[in-house]
Amino acid sequence: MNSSRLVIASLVLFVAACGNRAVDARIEQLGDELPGVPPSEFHRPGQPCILCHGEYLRENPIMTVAGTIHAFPAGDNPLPVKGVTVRLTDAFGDQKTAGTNCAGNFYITEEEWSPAFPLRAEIEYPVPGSLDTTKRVVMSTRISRDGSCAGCHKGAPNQGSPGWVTCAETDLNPPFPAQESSCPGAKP
Amino acid sequence: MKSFLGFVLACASFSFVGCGDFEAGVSDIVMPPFDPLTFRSFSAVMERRCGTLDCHGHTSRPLRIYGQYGLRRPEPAGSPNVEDYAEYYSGGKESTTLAELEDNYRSICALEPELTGEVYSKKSSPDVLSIVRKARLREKHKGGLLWNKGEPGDVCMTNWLTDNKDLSQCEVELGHP
Repeated sequence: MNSSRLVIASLVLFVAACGNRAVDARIEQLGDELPGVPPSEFHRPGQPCILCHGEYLRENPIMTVAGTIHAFPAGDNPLPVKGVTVRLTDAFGDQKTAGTNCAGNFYITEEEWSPAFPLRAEIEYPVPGSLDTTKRVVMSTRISRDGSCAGCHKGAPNQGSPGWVTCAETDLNPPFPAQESSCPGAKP
Repeated sequence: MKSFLGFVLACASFSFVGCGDFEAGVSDIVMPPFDPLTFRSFSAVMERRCGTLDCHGHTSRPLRIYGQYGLRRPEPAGSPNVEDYAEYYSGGKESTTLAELEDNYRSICALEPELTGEVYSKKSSPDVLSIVRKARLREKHKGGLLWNKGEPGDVCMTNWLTDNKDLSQCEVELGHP
């Protein structure tokens, strides 16, 4: 009888010890899903995907690198860009590419690629108004351990963040196209 | 009454122990000097390889590293430490400030101060330091392997720690993609 109590107590302690309150608090801060945008590849643009889709919560699909690409810095409401190619190179030289959807989101699942950090990252975006013309932007530092772009890149640039991942420093002429109205979560 | 007296005596003895004089145990440690001209090269390597925002450029992590492309030292607008406040953000054009260099220097030296002093005085090999071993992945390191012994980044670090003025390998390391 005493041994079964000990086992139960050990299990309770084990389960309690597996939580991470710091990560739980960060997930809590992300808030609820937007109305009309259920969990899918289009949901929660600009949020740190790996918090939930990583080794901690292991929400399906489990991702190793994921994020959102925007057109140019624009405060809290940046314009997502579709059709951007994200090219990543890991510490062993292995490369993987992924493309952004209409929400600007891209992701790479654990099954597709489990890279060895640090990673080199670059994006190649379609230049507005120029058919088949693309422009390449290389990230100036390496990604050391956090596969979520938004783990570091969030909001306006400040002393703790370079700001959103963007294709250009300002809008271009011709401008980046507006987000497709049919895209889940698109703002009118 | 007797037990109360015992309690008071116990408290008194604890407080006596707690107020011990530590002066006798304090000793000066000879550290690598802070010379901004030479330290900037080594710091630049630390900033690029260790101080990204998701690693040692994060406020929650020990060995905090500030720098132009990572975490910036908290400074209010108008701070005399910053030349162009509009560019004082992660990835901005304001290069790593002198105040950030000084803080990086303190972070590195304060990690294992006695051992760092011994390495600087050539009484111990750089291999004894965690900062050296972790970068070589000879000690558990979430950030993985940064360089092997003898490679440019490693030489840059160990030269600075041992007061070797040749920091040319720091520039070589920074040249790597």
